[in-house]
Amino acid sequence: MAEQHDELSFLSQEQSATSGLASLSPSSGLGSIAQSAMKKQLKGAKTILIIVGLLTIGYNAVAFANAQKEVDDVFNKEIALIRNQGMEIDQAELKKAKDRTLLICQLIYGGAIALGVAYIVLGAMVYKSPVPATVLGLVLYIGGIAIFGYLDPESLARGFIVKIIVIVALAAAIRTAISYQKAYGAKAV
Amino acid sequence: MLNGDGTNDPFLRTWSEKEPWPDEEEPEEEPIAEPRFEPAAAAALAPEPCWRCGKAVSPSVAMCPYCNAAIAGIYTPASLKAVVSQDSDAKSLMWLIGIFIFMLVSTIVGHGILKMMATQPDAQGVSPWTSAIVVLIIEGVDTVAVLAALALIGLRHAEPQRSLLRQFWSWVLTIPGLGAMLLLNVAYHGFLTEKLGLDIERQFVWDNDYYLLATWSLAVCIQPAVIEELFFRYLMFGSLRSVMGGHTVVWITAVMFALAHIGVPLSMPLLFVFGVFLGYARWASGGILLPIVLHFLHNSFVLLFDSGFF
Repeated sequence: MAEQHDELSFLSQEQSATSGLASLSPSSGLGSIAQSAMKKQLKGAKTILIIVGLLTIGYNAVAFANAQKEVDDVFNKEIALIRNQGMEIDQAELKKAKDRTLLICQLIYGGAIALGVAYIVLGAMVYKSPVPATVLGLVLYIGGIAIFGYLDPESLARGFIVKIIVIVALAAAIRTAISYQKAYGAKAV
Repeated sequence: MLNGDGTNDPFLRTWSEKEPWPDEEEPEEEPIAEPRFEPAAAAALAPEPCWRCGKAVSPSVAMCPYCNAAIAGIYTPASLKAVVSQDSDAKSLMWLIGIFIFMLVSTIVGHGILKMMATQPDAQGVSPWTSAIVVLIIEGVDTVAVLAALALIGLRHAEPQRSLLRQFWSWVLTIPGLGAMLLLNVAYHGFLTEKLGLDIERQFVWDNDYYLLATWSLAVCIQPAVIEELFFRYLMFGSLRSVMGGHTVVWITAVMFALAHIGVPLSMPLLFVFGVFLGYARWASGGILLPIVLHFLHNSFVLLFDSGFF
């Protein structure tokens, strides 16, 4: 009964844990219960980051491969509109514009692939450096949404609920990571 | 140093009224980890809480054995005790990330409005005054948000004050650093326009109107230097510093700084490098004045360069 009371009082102090308390040492049974609970939440953050990373890489790798076709389709539509108005197109300028547009598309998709790789690396680092990995993961995720929202505002609405869930999960993971680090004295990176 | 209840026992010391030590009749003595470097006289010194993790550490050791925070050597002895030892405040960090999201949204909305105005069928582009005013409005909103964060979260004492000599050298050595950053800026944008053929449109068209130039100065030089540094290198730096090492904080705040300039996506890589430079200036100097000055000087040069003064 006394042990249960201690466990409950510890869990209620989890969010405001101060460091260096003997009751939080990993060697005690109560400490290991709390530690495994925190690790479970960190595992959730790790899973989210790795899944988001893989999906980001996959989607943007396909887009990168199709960038030429995408650019050709857009330009062909515009060319058809211009020709319907009876105007001629300077082929040299057209080629320059196509090359420039293709380069920008490849930069954007390449950057997104790099972002996906970053998510996976951060996911792998969650146990080793919980606070930096979760904070940077959340910052990059929000930043990625913002960048693609700026480039294509309609993308903000796509998968809105999933984005909110991921943000809330990563924010919760940050709180857990801070508590975990404070409680178990993880070396600050 | 006495506790609030008049005792002098470090294990019963209360460092914050919000989070007192647990109420135990006989507090367990936590064994102090073997210090890495400890002069003979250190044994006589009472252990003090580490300024970052709060664990009891001999004040003479070079580094905290728990969190690797520097203890002796680079900080002035008096400032070590003066630091407000903060617990990692997850709540304030969440507030700051929320305000960061708000700033991103306001930037996207503002630039969206400018794009819409530019693409109106009857419009002949956006006038320089209109651009300046829209940018000022976005920045006004960001200023209010950052000041609200400052009022909500309060002052952040990131770490003990650096010695005067170290502060002096940090100021001196950032002068060539600033020169290098400006050269990198010109070279990077030159590479984008000349080699890659990308169209980087000039934002600061002033048409020989000094009032317009003054408005751009306020929007591009003064406000960013003060408000962005206040947010990234003061509030965010301070909040993260209590749970992370200095290098990690510098790089994370630099990522956030680059992402905040979402209106100029092609310049983000350069802004990331600039953010790293400002972060290390902040860390080395121990204060926010140096990054504010550097940011102001850098942006002033960019404004004058883009306006055609050079």
